[in-house]
Amino acid sequence: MNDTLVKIGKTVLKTPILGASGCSGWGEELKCFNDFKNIGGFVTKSITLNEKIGNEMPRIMETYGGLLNSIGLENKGIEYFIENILPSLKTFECAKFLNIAPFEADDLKKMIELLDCHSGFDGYEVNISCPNVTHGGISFNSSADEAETLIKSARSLTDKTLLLKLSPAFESSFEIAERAEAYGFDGITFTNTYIGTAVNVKERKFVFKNRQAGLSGSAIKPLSLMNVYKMSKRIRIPIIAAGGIKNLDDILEFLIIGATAVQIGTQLLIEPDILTRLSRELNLYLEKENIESVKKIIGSLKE
Amino acid sequence: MRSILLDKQEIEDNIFLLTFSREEKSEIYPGQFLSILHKSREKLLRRPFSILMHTENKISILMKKIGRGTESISEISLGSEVDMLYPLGKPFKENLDNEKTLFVAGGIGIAGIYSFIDRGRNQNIIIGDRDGEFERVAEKLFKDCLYVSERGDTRRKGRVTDFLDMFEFNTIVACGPKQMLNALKKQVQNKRYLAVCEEIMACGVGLCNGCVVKYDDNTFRRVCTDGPVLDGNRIVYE
Repeated sequence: MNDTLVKIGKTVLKTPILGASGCSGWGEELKCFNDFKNIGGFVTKSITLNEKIGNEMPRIMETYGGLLNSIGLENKGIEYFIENILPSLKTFECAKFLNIAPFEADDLKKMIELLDCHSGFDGYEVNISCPNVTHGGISFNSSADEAETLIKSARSLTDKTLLLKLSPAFESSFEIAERAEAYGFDGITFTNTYIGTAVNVKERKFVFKNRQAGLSGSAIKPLSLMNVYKMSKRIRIPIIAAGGIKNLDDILEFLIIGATAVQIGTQLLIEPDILTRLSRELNLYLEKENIESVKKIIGSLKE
Repeated sequence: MRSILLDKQEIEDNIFLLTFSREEKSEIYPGQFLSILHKSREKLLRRPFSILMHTENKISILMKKIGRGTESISEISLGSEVDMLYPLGKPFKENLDNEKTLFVAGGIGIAGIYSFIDRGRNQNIIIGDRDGEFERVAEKLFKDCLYVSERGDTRRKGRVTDFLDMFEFNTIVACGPKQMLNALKKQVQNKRYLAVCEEIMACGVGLCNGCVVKYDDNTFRRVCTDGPVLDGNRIVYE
């Protein structure tokens, strides 16, 4: 057996392949299709302090090689999560990160304080990059100073693994990542979806009620690959890459360019068992190529 | 799961009856659906279809070709392997009282109601379409139904909602365009209304919350895992 383990913060991943937030449900649905003992893990849907009913329909639309979504962080709020969802999360034998999405500056503190006394998960992925909510959220991502007000105290609130998920829509993401590293974050998830839109020609209206939506899927992979490369030059903490990954070659590209782990989003919707399959394929690849550890691939780009 | 395409009939222009081998033996209930991974490189998502009929070894769908995804599925050749997920959706396990149930379908919505119908008996069924394109499909699939068409060349001209008075029923099972489901809601307020919902789906298995309908209390239901059979009287249609 070759070594597929990677470490992010205090969390050891059995393989560097995770299900991305928003596409992994709350784990229960994913469990029907994957053997959790043999995958890296997953990130839950976004949890917000208060319930969010989510956006009006339509919420999704296919584009050429991609998917626009405008789900709007639908969830029942943190108290419901702790009472009704967290207990089942505890039973899953893979790494589990909670995606938490703050709207106000003190939301993050409140959420971590409520969650941190509980066990059954490995860490947090702080999400300030969802393009589908009209206020809060992504505005923290638009300036490094805004983001700093939010992230500076996070480390003092928890010993669990702390990730920050950033948007490719803002140049500030690179500086925010540097500051997050300085404030003790364990990793950066990069990238969230790209901001896009679509127009209904017949009605001459935006397709989505929110006007904009997040673009994901194969169409964005080259963009994310470049962004992850740029990010790898700016920070030393692990990058968890996301953006249009659909097969082993995509994963290897991201690892070579500098990511420590990857997240599968859109393709997980299409092939819900893909975490298990790609983890197996990665193992076979290491064996075939006689590579003793996946760590030998990470950052192995020859320039 | 891998299945083999065993039979392909184009019943009417762009309307296909496709039969696949059934490898997965979990019990299948009315209202459930399957999703097919297609080979179009332009469109990524699986395409969901109501399970029309199934036997121990076969499973079939009725498909209308409307875009790149369904076009790609229509081009699958006999004997080819197809990646399908099934059964999906919440199973509907109740036995409906046949005498008191009216089944209504608009267009390709036929596929959504078909699995609820006890084909051994006469049932109360209205099939409607716009231009007569489903007349032959209705004839082929139902031994007895009321077929109506808005503009087609038919004895019964009109919309399905124009003919509800011909039947006595306390439950209605309907599948079709949102306008039809909404028009029915206005006429069946005091009856049980089981809407077999159709929605564009990303995952079809409850991961993404992309395929929702809104209920009257301003909360959403997922068509894929809370449905597809939902309370037609509570859905807010736009």
